[in-house]
Amino acid sequence: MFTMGEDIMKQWAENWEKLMGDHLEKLVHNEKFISEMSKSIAATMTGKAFYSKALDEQMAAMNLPSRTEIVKVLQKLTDIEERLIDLTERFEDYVDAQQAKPAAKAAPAAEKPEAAAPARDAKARKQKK
Amino acid sequence: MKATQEIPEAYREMLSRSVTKSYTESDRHRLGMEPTPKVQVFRQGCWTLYRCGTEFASDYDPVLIIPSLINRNYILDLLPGHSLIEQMKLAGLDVFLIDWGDPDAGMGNYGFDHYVSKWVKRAVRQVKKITGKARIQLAGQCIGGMMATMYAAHPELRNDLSTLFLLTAPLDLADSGLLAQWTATEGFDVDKLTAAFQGLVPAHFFHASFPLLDPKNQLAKYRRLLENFEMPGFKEIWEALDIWGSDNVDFTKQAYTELISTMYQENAFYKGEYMVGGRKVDFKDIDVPILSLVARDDHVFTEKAAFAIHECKAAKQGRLDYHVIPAGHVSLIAAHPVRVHTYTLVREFLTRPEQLRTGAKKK
Repeated sequence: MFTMGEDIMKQWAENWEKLMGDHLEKLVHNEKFISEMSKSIAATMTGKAFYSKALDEQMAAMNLPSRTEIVKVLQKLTDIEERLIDLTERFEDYVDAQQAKPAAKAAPAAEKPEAAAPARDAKARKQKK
Repeated sequence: MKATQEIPEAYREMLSRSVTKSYTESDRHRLGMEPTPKVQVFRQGCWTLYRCGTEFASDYDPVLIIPSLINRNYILDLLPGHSLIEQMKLAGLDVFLIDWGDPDAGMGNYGFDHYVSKWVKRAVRQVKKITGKARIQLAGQCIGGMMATMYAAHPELRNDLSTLFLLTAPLDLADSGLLAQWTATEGFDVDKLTAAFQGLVPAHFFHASFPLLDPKNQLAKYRRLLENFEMPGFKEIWEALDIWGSDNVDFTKQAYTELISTMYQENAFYKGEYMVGGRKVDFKDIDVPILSLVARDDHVFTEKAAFAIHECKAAKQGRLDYHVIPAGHVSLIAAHPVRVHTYTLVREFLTRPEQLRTGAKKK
């Protein structure tokens, strides 16, 4: 339950929320605003990239590895890990296939007696007659 | 009813935690988030494959869920009674879930092609090996849905699947909402925007724009909390969603660049021009039964982005179940009362006998 003062505050907050909402909604749909915003962020990021490059060069001058070089090493390590798992999987698949081969060969031999069973039953029935 | 002085204090505490994003593990524990137990079955680098639940026997093909890359996967298992995974387990399904984790800079060169042709393929292989089943049911949420669609469209990989379940998955990104409008704007140059990042695009960089996708909702967020503070269960789900919403993940630079330039600006996946594992993938070739659930009030993608699934073979053969749910991008599975309807649709589809999947739409 709201008092009269709280009612006024509530009304004011609702109006503010609606006004701000409408305004922001228009802004985020405004192509010019988005375009300028993108250009401004792109310019900042280009500046940041330039600064990182300068830092890399300073590190190289001090004969120290830069972040760029560390990331490159990390990427190579990740690629090696990926390749290793690929090879492990191939090897596992090969082993599975090899193990399946004798089983497949043994299967027809095992199936023969079962396949012959109906014929046997028929013979037995004839003999009974 | 609680004393009026009591509510503002508790409200102020929640507000403070939300604004400063000072959530801790104990908050997640207090709320009982991620109620379904999970067992790690495979791990590589940053990503992990989990098997959900404690009982694994199932009459159905196992389900593998590919979550989105943008946020954490626990939106699918948020709270007891608000969990899609919990519902899948109750239906007797054997559920596997990928957790993409936190990529490191060494993975910066890996884009969607690598995610699908290597990592999802590897996860599918593990699921098949563990369960002994020849085919699986692949599910994907949001961008994970796009990746699941890539898998199902791949000429070789598709043989692993018996069904495809898409949850708010965008396929046609042209004119698909505000994000599409922003990326199509003159001056939006993804190479310049990411020039300073090495390997990873930090979560805070692209998540800064997310509240602007739905500014009115953002402004109403705390008022809604105050108005519904006394409603049983409201503040728990509000806080759980807030924790999830602020728990963002970095993107690999390649995946981010592809998402903006290849997917949004060129719409290459919709056009069938995107390559996965050296082969072009065209989602129009998908012929396995599909369930596609779309949120009517989605602020991330419009319904048009997901509606494109009607152009695939399965749809033409009558094997597409397509539903537009009157809820938001995540509320259709986690919060809104309509989630119960979502759960029913998912359970019915994933446990439907094979013979009913051909041309028949189960009521």
